[in-house]
Formats: sequence, C-alpha cells, structure tokens
Amino acid sequence: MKILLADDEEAIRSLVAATLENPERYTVLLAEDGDQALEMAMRERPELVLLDVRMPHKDGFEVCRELKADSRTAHIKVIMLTALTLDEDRDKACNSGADEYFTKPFSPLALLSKVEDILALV
Amino acid sequence: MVGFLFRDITDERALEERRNEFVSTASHELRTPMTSIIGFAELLLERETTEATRRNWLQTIHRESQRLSDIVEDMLDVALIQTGKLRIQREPVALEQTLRLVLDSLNSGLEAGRVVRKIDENLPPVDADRDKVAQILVNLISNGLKYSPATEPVTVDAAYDSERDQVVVTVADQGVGITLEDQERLFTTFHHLRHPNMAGVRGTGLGLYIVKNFVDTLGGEIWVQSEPEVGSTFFFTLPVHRSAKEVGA
Repeated sequence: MKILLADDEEAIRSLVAATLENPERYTVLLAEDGDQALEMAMRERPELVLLDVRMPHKDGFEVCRELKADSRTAHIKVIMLTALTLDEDRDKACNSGADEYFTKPFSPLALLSKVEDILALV
Repeated sequence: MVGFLFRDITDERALEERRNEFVSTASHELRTPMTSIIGFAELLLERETTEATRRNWLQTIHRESQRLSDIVEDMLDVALIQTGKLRIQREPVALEQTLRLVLDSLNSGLEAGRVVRKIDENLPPVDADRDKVAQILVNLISNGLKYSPATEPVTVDAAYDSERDQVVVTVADQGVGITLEDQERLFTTFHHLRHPNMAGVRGTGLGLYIVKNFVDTLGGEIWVQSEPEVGSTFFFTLPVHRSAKEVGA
C-alpha cells in the first residue's frame, strides 16, 4: 500500500518515514510542499495521504480540498498533521474533507496505529 | 459616532487577528521541533534498530533540541522587550573584536568562511552592550547566509560617521532580496520572507524584531536597502563611546 507524506520539515518527514517503515506492507512517498503533494498524489494514487497544514505554495487544507474535489483522488483517505491548535483550525480541517486530524507533537506509535486502522478499511 | 464605533470594531478585529496569528505561529514554531524530539525518543525506546540509525535519530533529537532552545531564548527576549524589562550593560565595545568572536561562534566553519570582514581595527569603540551587539551581528549575518546562495559572500563593513559622531555598520548579501511589501513588516514579530526558493529556510521570525529593539535601546537606528533577486544591505548605527569621543576630539 502506498502512503504519501507531505511536510516541509525534513525532520518530520524522517520521523514519519521511520515510523511507517515496513517494506512488506507500505511504500512511503515523501513530498516537501503542497504542489509536490498534489502532483505525486495524482501520479501515484496512494491509499493514504498524511498532510502537514503549514506548507509552502499550497497549504494542507488546500491540498486536501483539491484531492477531495477531484473524482480521481476523492477516495484517498487523508490525515492532517498539524501544529495548529485553534478551534477554527480544527474546523478548517473538517471542512476541507480530512478523515482524521493529528496534533503535533504526536506519538509515532499512536500515528502508526491510526494508519493501520484506516488502511484496514480501504 | 457610527464611524467611531466602526473604527473601534475594526481595530479590535485587527488585534484579534494578530493575536490568533501569534498563537498559531508560536504554536507551530514550538511544536514542530517538539514533535521530532518526542517522536524519535519514543522510537529509540520502543524499536530495535541499527547503531547507525540510533545515532542518526539521536543527532536529530540534539539538533531539534538546540532549535527549540533558540526559539525559547528568542521568545524570552521578546517578552523582556514587550514588558520593558530589557536591561543593557553599557561599556566600550570594539566592533572588530566582537565580530571575530561572532564568527568563531557560527556553527559551521564553512559558513564563517563566507563572511568578508571589512571592519577597520582603528574604528573608535561604540557605547553599547557587548552581548547585544554580538546578538545583532549573529542575527544579521545568519540571515544573510541563509537567504543567499552558498557560493556568495556576506560582507560586514563599518565606518565612522563624523557628522553624527556614530559608527555605521553594514551587513550586505547578494541573496534573494526583500520585496517592498516584506520590508514594511520586516521588523515585526513572526514575519517570514515569502520567496519560492526559500521555502525550506527556517527561522522563528523574531530575530529582526529583537535586533531592531536592541539597536533602538542602544540609541541607534536600523534600516534596510534591498532589491529582489539582487540582495539586501542592513545598516545599523551605534553611538561612539564617550571617552573615545573625548580622546578623538
């Protein structure tokens, strides 16, 4: 199964890639900004996208909205990973069509468990 | 009356927006390194892995801890500034010597090697706080290095301005430059430059706010001249130390 992670922070990309490292089950694809995330999602059609909110070019909310609005990618599950904590940020995540919302800092093992739950339903 | 009320509401909204922006940015700046520190520590505790990977994760924890510490230091400086509790210890400060110490403290020798020093050893000492002057130089030089290609130098120059009896220091880079729109907000809190090539450049967005307040408190001025895609030159002034002025008179 393919999982796409988009985050402009190199350390977070390394952390999530290390957390999900399981070559027999997952192929983890990495994007550094919103544009790259959309382009890779369109090309690779992953089962799950993990999206940071604050990214250059297009933010995570925008990427999520575009993925959910396109019939070719609307079925892809999306988890938002964000350091933002205001109520309106949670509302924005829900309104953009995200399936789950994880607040940074998060437990990598809790994230792995959530990813496994979501992918079990795909 | 209606106009008055309208202005009040608009001001309140603007203030509320700035508060929200502050909370969002502070939250992002603090939580991002915390995520790496907590996350890699958890993986180290829970996962069997190779020695090379362990070392790599520990290096990331160390680097991100340093980053978090820098952010906290900057936030404490901002708190001191905004509560009027910033203290300075005035003394004669030799700029050439301070710059040498600053370059020694830069993390990478490679980066320090990109800095061209043009400060005259015979320049009169300034009336300032040595640590604050060092922090001003570190911030301006680090920005110059971050926002310009790795092959381009950052030049630090200083000259005595006899007309106003002050020293003018310049820090010049040949980097991405700053748009007029960005220049207007450059010395405010949590302002980051928007440039597509600089998307991965990190910073708290507090450095220039702190620098401006340090320069103001020391009795100087700071300004910038910049052209997008050509480069930026930051200027700041500091008064000459009194006894040095008397000797020079």
